[in-house]
Amino acid sequence: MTQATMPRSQQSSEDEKKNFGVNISKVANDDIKAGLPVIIYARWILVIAGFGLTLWNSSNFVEAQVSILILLGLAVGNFFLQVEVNRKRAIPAWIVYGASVIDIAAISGVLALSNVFPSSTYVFYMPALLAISVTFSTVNTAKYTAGALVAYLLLVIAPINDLGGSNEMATNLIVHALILVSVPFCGNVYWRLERSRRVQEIQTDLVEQELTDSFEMSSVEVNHDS
Amino acid sequence: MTANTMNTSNNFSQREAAEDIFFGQVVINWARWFVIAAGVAMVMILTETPNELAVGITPIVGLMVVNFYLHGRRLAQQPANKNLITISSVLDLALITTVVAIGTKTSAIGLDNQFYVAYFPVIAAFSFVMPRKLSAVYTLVAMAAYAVTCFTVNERVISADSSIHWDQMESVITRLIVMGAVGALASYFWRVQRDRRRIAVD
Repeated sequence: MTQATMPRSQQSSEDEKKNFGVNISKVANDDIKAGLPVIIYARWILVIAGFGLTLWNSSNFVEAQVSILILLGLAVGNFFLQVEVNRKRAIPAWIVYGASVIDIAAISGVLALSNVFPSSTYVFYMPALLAISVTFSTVNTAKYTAGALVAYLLLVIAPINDLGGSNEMATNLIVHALILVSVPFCGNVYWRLERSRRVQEIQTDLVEQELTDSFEMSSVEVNHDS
Repeated sequence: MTANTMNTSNNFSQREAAEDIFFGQVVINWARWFVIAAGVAMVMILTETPNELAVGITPIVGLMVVNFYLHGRRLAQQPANKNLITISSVLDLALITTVVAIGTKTSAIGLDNQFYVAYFPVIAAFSFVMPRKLSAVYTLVAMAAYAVTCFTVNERVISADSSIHWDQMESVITRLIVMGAVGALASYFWRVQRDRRRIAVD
């Protein structure tokens, strides 16, 4: 019987057997569950720091108004997520994915408003991408990172053009782009390492358990025979 | 709790800490490769004479040698110990701070030098791998080094008459907050993973 024609229940039980009883889809969901608090804390940092800095030093009134609206929106969304996590209620994965898109969009939006290069806002990509990289799979992390990188590069073209461009600006842009990729890359390398460590530990534990069970069974049989 | 139970628990924690470093150090190696790439880009584009190029590229080549050694050992399943990793990570901080403080002939220094972003991957990687206290100290050292550099190498933030330029101070504070945040988040995730591993085994 091929995998495609196999009944779903049988197929999933065979998959579980192949992975020593570890249900991979559950592991993926657990990964999101474990990483969600990191995303929430990263967003609180973004909201609090962004709010304080906007109130402290805003040169443009409209820019400050829009920034505060964006930050308040993020705070409300994050409050909802925080409450759901504290109540130990399941949050659909699409909400977590959507919230992370909003994070990147919000940082890019504030960056677009400031329209300067280099901007202080750039650094806020770091905690956001770090949190994404330890929550989502490698493919999804790569998508978010590519999105953030493209958004950043598109947004800084205008201010660099306005300033006339120079070798130093080109270098700064390359360094910014490299580091923007490096933080989620390292985060995801760590995420993958930890995932394989956990699976290894579970497998070792299951093998030990199986050995203990079979030893106990054989002991019982020997006692029974004698 | 008996002495035996305490010993077992201590052994488990020690083994776990050693494994954290054994498996995790590759993250630090990768972070260092990115710093090296950023450094090479900076030196290649911003230097104008062979002498400048030689002076600029030498410390980066030194860092590459260190990373080849450490990454090679990891790939050969003979990873470095905690002390060696800590020393090499402090070396990363020293190099980044030096570049921020001195720059190249044509680049800005202190607050205007954009190489400060290289602090982020090294802080994140160190905090993913090392115990929380050590990560906290490392992050604070990085923050202090950067703050002192910005305040002392020129008068962009603090003038000679000790008056503070608050608009520039805002940039310093933003960067310091995010450096601290990156260290704290990575360290928090380190703890989350440790707990998950323990629960999975139990």
